[in-house]
Amino acid sequence: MNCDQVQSYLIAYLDGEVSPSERTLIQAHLSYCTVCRQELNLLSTARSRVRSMLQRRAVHAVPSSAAWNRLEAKLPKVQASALPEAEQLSSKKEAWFSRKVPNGSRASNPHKNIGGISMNKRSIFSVMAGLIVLAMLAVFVVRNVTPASASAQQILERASEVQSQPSAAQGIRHIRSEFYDNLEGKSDGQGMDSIIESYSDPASGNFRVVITDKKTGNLLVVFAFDGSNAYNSEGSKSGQSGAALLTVYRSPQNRPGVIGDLFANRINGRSNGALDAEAKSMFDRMRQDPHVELVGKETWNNGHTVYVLRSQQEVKSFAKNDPLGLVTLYFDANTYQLMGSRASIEKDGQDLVISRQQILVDEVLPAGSVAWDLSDLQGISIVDDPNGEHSVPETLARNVNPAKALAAKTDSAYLLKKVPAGFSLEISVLPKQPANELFFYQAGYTNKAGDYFIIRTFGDKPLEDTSWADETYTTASGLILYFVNQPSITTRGEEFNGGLMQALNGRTYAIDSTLSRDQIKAFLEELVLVK
Amino acid sequence: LDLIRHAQAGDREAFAALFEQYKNLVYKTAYLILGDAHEAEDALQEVFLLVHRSLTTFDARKGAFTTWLHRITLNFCLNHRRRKNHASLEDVLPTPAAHFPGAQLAEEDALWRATRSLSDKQQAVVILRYYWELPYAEIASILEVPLGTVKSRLDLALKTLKKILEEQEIENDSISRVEVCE
Repeated sequence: MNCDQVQSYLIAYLDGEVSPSERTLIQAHLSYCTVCRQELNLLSTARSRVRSMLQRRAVHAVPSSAAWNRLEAKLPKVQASALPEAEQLSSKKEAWFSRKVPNGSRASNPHKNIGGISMNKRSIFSVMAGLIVLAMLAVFVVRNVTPASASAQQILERASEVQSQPSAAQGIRHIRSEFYDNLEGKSDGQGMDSIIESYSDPASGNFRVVITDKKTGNLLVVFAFDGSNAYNSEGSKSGQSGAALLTVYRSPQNRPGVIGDLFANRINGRSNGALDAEAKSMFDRMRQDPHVELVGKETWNNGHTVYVLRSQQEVKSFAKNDPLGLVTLYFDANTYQLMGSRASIEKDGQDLVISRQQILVDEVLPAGSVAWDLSDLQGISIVDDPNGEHSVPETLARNVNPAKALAAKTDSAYLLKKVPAGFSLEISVLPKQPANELFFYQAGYTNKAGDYFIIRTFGDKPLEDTSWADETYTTASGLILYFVNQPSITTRGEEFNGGLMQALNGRTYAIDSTLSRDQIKAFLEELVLVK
Repeated sequence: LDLIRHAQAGDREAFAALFEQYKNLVYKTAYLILGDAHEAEDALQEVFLLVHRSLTTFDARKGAFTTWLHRITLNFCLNHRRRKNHASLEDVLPTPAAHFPGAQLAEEDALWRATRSLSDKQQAVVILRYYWELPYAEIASILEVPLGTVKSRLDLALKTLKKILEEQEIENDSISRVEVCE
């Protein structure tokens, strides 16, 4: 092959779309031709830039939640009217629950496409990850003086002591952290880089969280509570070209906690060690790992000197790989405060970062220094939502029995008889639900390994057509679960199990889970109506 | 396939499920071609109306549903853009992203505009290959062209984009030299 011929093949060569014999010829030519090698390098750079540019541009491009309703209105009328009104109503609310519910972040409608879920999950995960950081910070209080030298176990024990002590912070806590999320296991640098800026005032319960795409500077998520209104960007089209303002809905809400008590507790540091599942498991597993390694000390740009501890443990990602990965935690060398984390897996012989977070700023500000009503925030457009259509689900408090709290609101919710060993339960409900309408709730059982079993309201009419189900299971009590097979539209390989459950009360519930179908069936046998 | 069969038979629920499953496929492609969220939203509506009208003509023996859907989406979006036939504001005005500091952002912005200024045919292969990561054979099937055509279109597209990146780098270099001189 001469240079012209080789150069006409280079893109296909980079894409792995040449035949073995062509590959051999090209490689032979490249071994001696510096011109073609240089061209290969330039094309390879252009190709990866195009790829990451497209990924970044499209990452926030998701259809509006009203898209189906709009489309349905245009479809031929005869069929449209066949859809029961209640179902139309439920689909709207149901959309909420499939979009964003605290700790139901991994929830997915069995009918929703994986790509869509992954988009939602990404932003939700960013939010939750931010909360994890906040939760960690809230409980890792500056208290102790560091010994000059320490072992990995000593550092973890001191961190654990610090964690168990209540926060003594007074005033407004301001935390800025950076978070890199690459759950899909894309090549390094192609994940989502966000900056999470949060302010919280334990005295008033007010808070404000703004998440920005670090690469584009676009606002991704805004939510806040100013004492009488909840602010929430969910449901608006976020971060498109940077030209559009991010719509933030302002809904009157009395409770100090836009996304519920759990969030308020976490952000206010009242939870005394109630770390989020992922963060807690990373820390706990590191503590249990006899081979945890003290890599050394390092000093960051912002002046923090940290201990770097590393252990091998399971890292959850959507990349189908060996689940074992490396978790690195960073503890302030003076205070034992957790300053950051990094989780990676090995892919194609390389260390691929799945998540990374780092605290950039952690300070206490005087009262009155923060505009809880977002009046100083650029790039948003506040839209009043007096009827609370964009109000957000509230998580029922964990300190009281959530099942009892749920039973006080409805008699049509199913929960497991007992929370399974190793799992914790979080229940979310939409506020302002009219008494005569279908009650929406979601119960999420999660364990430290990241597995979950979620049940939530779906509709109040029996399922008419269940021929889409690829398996049907009936429990001893007569509940019927129609499992749905979810083909993935991408090759990124996400696996979910679930389906729609027909109950004896004529209502339907959606089930989502990472568990196997056999495990789901065992869980179903334990479902009872709340009392 | 069951879902498609039911949707073909006029089952509204199945069609709703189909929409949920594939709306991102349509929306993201539309967004990448049209470059505007509102237009992508409209395209999503129009494409699914087309799908609804012509679903009975879809024949699973002739290819995957996604192949068919990609084809409809690309045809619609590229035709729509051609019909509009005017430079979008974004091409004329500096985008807000350009105001952000950092050469990388400006460069990405330039690359975005360059990609969108490629010919329709080239843009289609770039999106199918470098966003959806589809193999050449599937791209060929979506576009109903020979495999070699996919190769040559990608080759031309990437070389064009590479050239734009090089020009951008020269421009950046000369700007920084001017700043140093001042």
